[in-house]
Amino acid sequence: MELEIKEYLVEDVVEGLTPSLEGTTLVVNLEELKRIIKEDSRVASASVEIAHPGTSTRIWPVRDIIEPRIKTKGGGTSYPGICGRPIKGVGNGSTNKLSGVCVVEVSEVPWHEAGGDHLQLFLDMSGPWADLIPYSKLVNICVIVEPVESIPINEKNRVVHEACLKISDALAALTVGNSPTRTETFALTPTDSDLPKVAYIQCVHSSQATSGNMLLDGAADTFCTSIYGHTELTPAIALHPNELMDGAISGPYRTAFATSWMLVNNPILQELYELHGVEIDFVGCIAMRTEWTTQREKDLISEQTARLAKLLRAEGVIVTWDAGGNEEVEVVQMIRECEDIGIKAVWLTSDDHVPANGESTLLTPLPELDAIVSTGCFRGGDLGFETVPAVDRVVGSKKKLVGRLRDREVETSSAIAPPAMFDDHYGFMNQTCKEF
Amino acid sequence: MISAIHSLAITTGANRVIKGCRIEHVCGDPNLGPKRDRMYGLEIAKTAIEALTTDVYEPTLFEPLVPA
Repeated sequence: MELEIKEYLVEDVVEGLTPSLEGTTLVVNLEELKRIIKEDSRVASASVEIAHPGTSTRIWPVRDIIEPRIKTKGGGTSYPGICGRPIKGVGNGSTNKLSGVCVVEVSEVPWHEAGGDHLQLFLDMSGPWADLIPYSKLVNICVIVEPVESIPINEKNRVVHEACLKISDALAALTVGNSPTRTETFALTPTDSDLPKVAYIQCVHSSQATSGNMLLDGAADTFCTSIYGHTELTPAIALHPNELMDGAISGPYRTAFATSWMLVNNPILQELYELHGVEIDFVGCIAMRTEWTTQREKDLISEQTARLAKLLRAEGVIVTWDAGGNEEVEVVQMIRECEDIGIKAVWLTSDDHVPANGESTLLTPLPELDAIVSTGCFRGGDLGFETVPAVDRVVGSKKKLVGRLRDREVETSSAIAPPAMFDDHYGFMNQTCKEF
Repeated sequence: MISAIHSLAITTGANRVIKGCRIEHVCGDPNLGPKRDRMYGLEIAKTAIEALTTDVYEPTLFEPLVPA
C-alpha cells in the first residue's frame, strides 16, 4: 500500500465568479457553494462565509473542521464511509489536499437528543483561544447549515456533515491540474529486522450507549467520530496508517481536537512514519472503540485489542484516546494487558484537572501505566484565562447559552468563557510535542 | 458501593463492591422484562445489605444472582 499526498498551500481565499486555485490564492464563489448545499431538499437554510486569521471574529457553534481532500489516483474517496461515501481504494494511489484553509461545519444540530453532550466548541480568529487552536491559523470557509425540522436526529447530523463534505470536495477539486507545494509518499517499506516493532493504538469514543438513539428509535448508530462511517461500539480493527491518512477515521465529536481535520493530520501518525526504518519498524494501527458500559465488555475489548497488537508482532505501542470518564477503564486495562504480554505501552493523555498535593489525576492509576505523556489540561477552566474577549463579528448563531445549567443566553460576540473541554488528544497543541 | 464497572471501584479502594448490571442501568436490567427486572433489582439490594454486615479486610466484590 503506497499513498502519495500532494499538498497545495493556500495563503489567501478571495471571492470571485469563477472558482480556481491561482498560485496560493483560492478563488471561491460563495453563491455557487450555497447552491451546491441547497440541492439537498432536506436543507432548510445555508450560507457560506470566510473568516481570516487575525481578525476579530468568532464562529459558533462549530461541529467539525474538514481539510479539503480529493483522491486523484488509486480510486476511492477521501473521508470514506461517512455519510454513505464509498470505502474502496483507500490508502493507495494519490490524494490532493488543500493546506492553509479548512471547511468549518457550523450548525445548531446536536449530536443526539439524550442531553449532556452539548455543542460547546467555538473558534476565535484572534486572542488567547485562537492561540491554542490550530484551525484559527487557517483561512476558515464556514458552512452554516440547518436541516429541516421533520427528519430524525441521525439524518439531521448526516445532512449537515454531507453538506460540508460536498464543499470540501468542491474546493479540493480545484487542485487538479495545478502544481503541488509539496509531495510526500507513505509506505510501510520493509526495514532492518532489528528495529523495535511499534504499533499505534487509537482509542475512539462511541456514543452508541449514551446517545439514547437505541431507546428512542432502536438505532444503534449515532453521530460521532466514525470508522468507515460506523459509529457503533465495534470490536478493535487493524488499519494500515495510510487508511487513516485518507480519512478512514473521520467526523467530529465534542472537543476541538476530535475533528476530521485533526484525524488526517494526526501528529502521531506523521511522527511514526518519520521514524519508520530509522528508529522503529512501524507495523500498523489499531482502532479501539471506547465507552463500553459493562465490565465484561470493557474486559473483552481491552484484552482483544492487546492480542491484536501481539498479532501485529508489536513490541511497543503508542496509545491515544479522545475522551474522559469511565472510558479510562478500558484504555488503561488495555495498556495493562499489553504490558502483561510483553508489549511496552506509552499513553498520551491530558490531565483531567490540575493535580493538588501531587496526587494522580487518573481514575485508575495502575502500576503498568509507567510511561505517560501529558498533552496538557482537559478543562477549559484551567487554561489560565476565564473569558475570551468580545469580538466585532460573529459567524453563525448570534446568541449562546452559558452557565453550568446552560440557562443564561448571552450575545455570542460578548466576552464569554472558553469551551468547557480543552482536550488535546494527539499532542498537537503548540505548547506540547508538535509545533504548528 | 454498587457499581457496573466494579474493577474501577475495587482499584480505587472501595471496601464492599456489589456487581451492578450496566452503566445505563446499574440496579437492574430492563431487557429481563418488568417482573424479572424487579427480582434482579431486589437481589442487588439484598446483596448490598448482606455486604454491609460482612467483615472485609480488603476491597471485596459481592456478586448478586441474575434471575434465569
